[in-house]
Amino acid sequence: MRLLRPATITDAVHHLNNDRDGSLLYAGGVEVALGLRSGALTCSSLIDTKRIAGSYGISAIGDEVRVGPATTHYMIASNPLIAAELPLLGEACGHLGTVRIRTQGTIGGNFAFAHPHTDPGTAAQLYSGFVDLISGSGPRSVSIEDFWTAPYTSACRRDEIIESIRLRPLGSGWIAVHERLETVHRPPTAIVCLAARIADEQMLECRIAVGAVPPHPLRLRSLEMSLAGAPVDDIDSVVAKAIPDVAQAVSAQSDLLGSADFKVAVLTGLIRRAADLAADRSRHATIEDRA
Amino acid sequence: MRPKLVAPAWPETARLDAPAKVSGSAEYLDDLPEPGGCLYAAAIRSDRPHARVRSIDISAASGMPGVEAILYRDRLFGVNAGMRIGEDAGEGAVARGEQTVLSTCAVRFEGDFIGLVVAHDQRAAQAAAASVRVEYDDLPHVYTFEEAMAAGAPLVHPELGSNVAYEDELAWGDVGEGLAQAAHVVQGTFFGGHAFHRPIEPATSCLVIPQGPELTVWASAKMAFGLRDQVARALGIEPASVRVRIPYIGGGFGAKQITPAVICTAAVSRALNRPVKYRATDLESFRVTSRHAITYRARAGFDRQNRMTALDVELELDTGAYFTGARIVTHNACISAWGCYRIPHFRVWATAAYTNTVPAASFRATGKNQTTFGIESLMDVAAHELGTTPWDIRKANVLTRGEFPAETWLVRGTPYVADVPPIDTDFTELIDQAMRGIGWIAGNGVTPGDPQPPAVAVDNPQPDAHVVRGRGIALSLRHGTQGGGRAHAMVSVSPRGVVTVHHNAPDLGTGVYNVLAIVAARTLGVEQSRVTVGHPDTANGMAFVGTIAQRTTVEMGNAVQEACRRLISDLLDVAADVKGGNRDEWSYANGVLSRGSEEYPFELILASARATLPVSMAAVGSYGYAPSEDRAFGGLDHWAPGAAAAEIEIDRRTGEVRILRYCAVADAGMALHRTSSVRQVEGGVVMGLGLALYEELHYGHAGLENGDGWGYRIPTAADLPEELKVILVENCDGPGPFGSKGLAQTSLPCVTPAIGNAICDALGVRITTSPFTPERVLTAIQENTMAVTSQYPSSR
Repeated sequence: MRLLRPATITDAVHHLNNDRDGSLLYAGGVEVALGLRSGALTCSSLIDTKRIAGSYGISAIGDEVRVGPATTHYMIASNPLIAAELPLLGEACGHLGTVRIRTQGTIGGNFAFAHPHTDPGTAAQLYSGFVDLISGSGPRSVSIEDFWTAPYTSACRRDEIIESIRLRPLGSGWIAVHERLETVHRPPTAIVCLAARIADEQMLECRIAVGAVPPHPLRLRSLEMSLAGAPVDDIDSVVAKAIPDVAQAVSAQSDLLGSADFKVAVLTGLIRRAADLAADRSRHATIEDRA
Repeated sequence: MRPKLVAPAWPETARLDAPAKVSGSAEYLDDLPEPGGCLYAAAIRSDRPHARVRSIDISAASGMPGVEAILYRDRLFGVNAGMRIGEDAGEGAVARGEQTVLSTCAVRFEGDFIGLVVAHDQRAAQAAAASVRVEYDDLPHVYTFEEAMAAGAPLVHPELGSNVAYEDELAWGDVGEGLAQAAHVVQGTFFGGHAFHRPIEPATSCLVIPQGPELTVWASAKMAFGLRDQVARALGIEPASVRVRIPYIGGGFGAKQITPAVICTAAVSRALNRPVKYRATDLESFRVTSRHAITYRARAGFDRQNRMTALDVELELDTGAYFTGARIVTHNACISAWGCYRIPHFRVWATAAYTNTVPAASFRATGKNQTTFGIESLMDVAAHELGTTPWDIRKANVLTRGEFPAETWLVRGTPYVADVPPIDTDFTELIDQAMRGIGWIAGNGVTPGDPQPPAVAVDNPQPDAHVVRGRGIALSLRHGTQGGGRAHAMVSVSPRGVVTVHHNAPDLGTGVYNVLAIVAARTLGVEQSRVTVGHPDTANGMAFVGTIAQRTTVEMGNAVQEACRRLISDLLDVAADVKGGNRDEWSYANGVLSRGSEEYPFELILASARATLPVSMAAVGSYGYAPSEDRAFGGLDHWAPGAAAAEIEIDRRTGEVRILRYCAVADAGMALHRTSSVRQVEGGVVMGLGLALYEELHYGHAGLENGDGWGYRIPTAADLPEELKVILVENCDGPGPFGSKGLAQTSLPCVTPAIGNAICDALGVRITTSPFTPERVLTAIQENTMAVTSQYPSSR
């Protein structure tokens, strides 16, 4: 097995095209190392993306925040720009896995692996934005909402490399909450990211992204519309009425983490909890709570 | 009862093994230097739950690079493939289905042992084992007790004609009459499923080194002599030709059984005259042994004063594919089914059935976790139905110090005079301490009948309307050790003043060596730093059944103490010989021999005696119980009681259970090393939290679905209660050295019932199947029913 360490994205694309079927990209190597060790993955060459110029770092560009794909979860969770502009992404990266995984794993690797239980991916769904990809055919951008297509499947093709992730902050007046159910360090059973604008005990607008239960992170647009304009006191009943729609949207599957019915129940329970928390925070709003 | 002693104020020193373990220099089996020419073994195991083995094709494997040998049914390397391993079935055995060294014609669980590949390195051995092609004729399987006992069920051992493995019964009084006398009868059914012990070290591993006609078997095992004898028997050689040595062990909890893989590794090593190392993979560890799944079904009668008149219990045990632990665990479940209560009329009938699951055997507090869940849940059901409190009903019924459970009893219909000590604890004190420990009742001496509101400000300043809190208590009465023969230990002293303890009590991580060092140091009156404790080695001849069943402090501790006393006696003789005077004129204290104004450190006496004595002096001590006719508890020398109280919080939207406060109270007799004792009790609580909230083995369409480190998770520090308190009761009234008792298993059985009772207190709904996963809790909330079904096991 060869280890290739390109310094530019052009070189990386070149390596990838030269050995399209036999090469694997890696940054933190969290998933790749496990896959290679177990035999689930094989490769003739490993392409280390950490030395590619621009692969690290977090910066504000126009009205977006750019995150380099090799940026680790720990760097994101502890970055002041993220805390100010994309606080939910920071919180999600701070909850993910273990300390080792957070310091080793990267957001590009997390996105590309397309694990259905991704915390950062679910948080990213709340923010409009794009994943910039590049291949021998040139660059293209895929919206965050279209990036994941199935479990362990993303829009990033085998010949493409993630060049950057661009997310647009929610702006002022939003309160964002990240809720999850995790037992004994398994992948989370359910993840909910909720952002809301609340005034005078009324939910003016909200965004809800869910993960772990559906095949990939997704927005619950229908429930968002139902909650828009609802009095805070009515949130429980609105969510309760929406359970059949939520169940249909997330296509939950039974597995060792629980039955499909249980997962939908937990998901809607977490949405209620997140909405309650957002309402409570709106009453005690501080600058840190603004997304 | 022995006279009550006063705990001396010995200073506590750091645990004997702490420096080595903290620095990483402590050697576990995998750390042992591998001799030159060492080979490596990998097991061939069944991937089917039940099948006939049609053919085994080793052609691909045998041609792989580095492969030296393949042991399987057609090439045995001198091992007796049909030798049964495991315990004797005993008189209550309905049918025998013991595990043999090798599964030659049929496999009965996923992981059944078919053979062993030995190669130059571990990867080559594993790759070759994976390439052995076994063709099966699949047979229908059963995964639960109910499936096994259904009419027409597939038979795990067809030659036996039934899936019943063992039956047991214990009774006193007339349970029918007792129930008839009752003003109120409560009933309930409670279930605790299969679980894995999950030691941090592989469940089985060894390094076998042939040395001439002898084999040295280094093993991560809990029973040195048991392993020696089984290896010798399987290879047809004298036990004296096998030397078992045991290094530090990375946890056991009952998992470190004698396994076919270790026996076969010894066979190949002997045949090839090469060292061979075997280490189970993580996946294999889950397929070596497990905890029994047990259903506790009971009716209890109470009179108008809330006193129990009768308890009628039926137990159903799923013992897995082989007999391995059927007798011991079934019996232990029977003798613990009555809890710790005064019951005039009692009967328990237990049936253990074979299933196509991993063979179940000993598990920390063997057989008692699920029965304690049963009886302690039932007491809360009774309190609720009788309109009293959980503590009042317990105090009204719990046995008090000096009482006996019964005077006579029937074991499978045969009468025996009860041969047990009287209850040696004060449960009402334990209840009060546990409740005070979580702030359920305040101050000292407050009557628990009038509990005060708890101080609830535990990191939850703004609980909302969806979060509910509850509190629960539970008691346990683990019996002290029974049987197993005498424990022997040798203590030697050198002219340099070094005291060495020779023994065969493996240290599974519990601090056994430390306890033995403390006993030796305190008995001889020397600094603990002068005492060294060797690793188990059968070559020293100090027979001991093993570090099992909470026996080591009492049994091996007493043996060491007796050896020390004999040593002192011998030193007095030597002093008289060397320095003159009559033996009676000499006395010994704190390492010094004295006569009148003459005082000599014992090492000086030994140095003076070099001309006539060997380099060091040694004495052997032993300890054992008097033989007993009683087949229920015979040989029991003390009780090991525990109590616990828990305060929990539940999010009704998600079913999450959060442990706010937990207090475990253990009657330690006397804690020989307080820090270690507290950690033992804490460890039991943490292990219990796993069993109460998270851990169970799932069998489904894919077989054992979570038999791996990823699917089966245990609690870590992040899952601990926000406040965990341990209270040790020390009355110095135990049979061990200085009044100590065994306490390793006092806290574990209480955890599931204490939390289950707290959940019921919070929700008003009793969950009868453990563990209390968020799914079961949420289902209970949604269905608001007293009996909760769940996805696992599917038939339940």
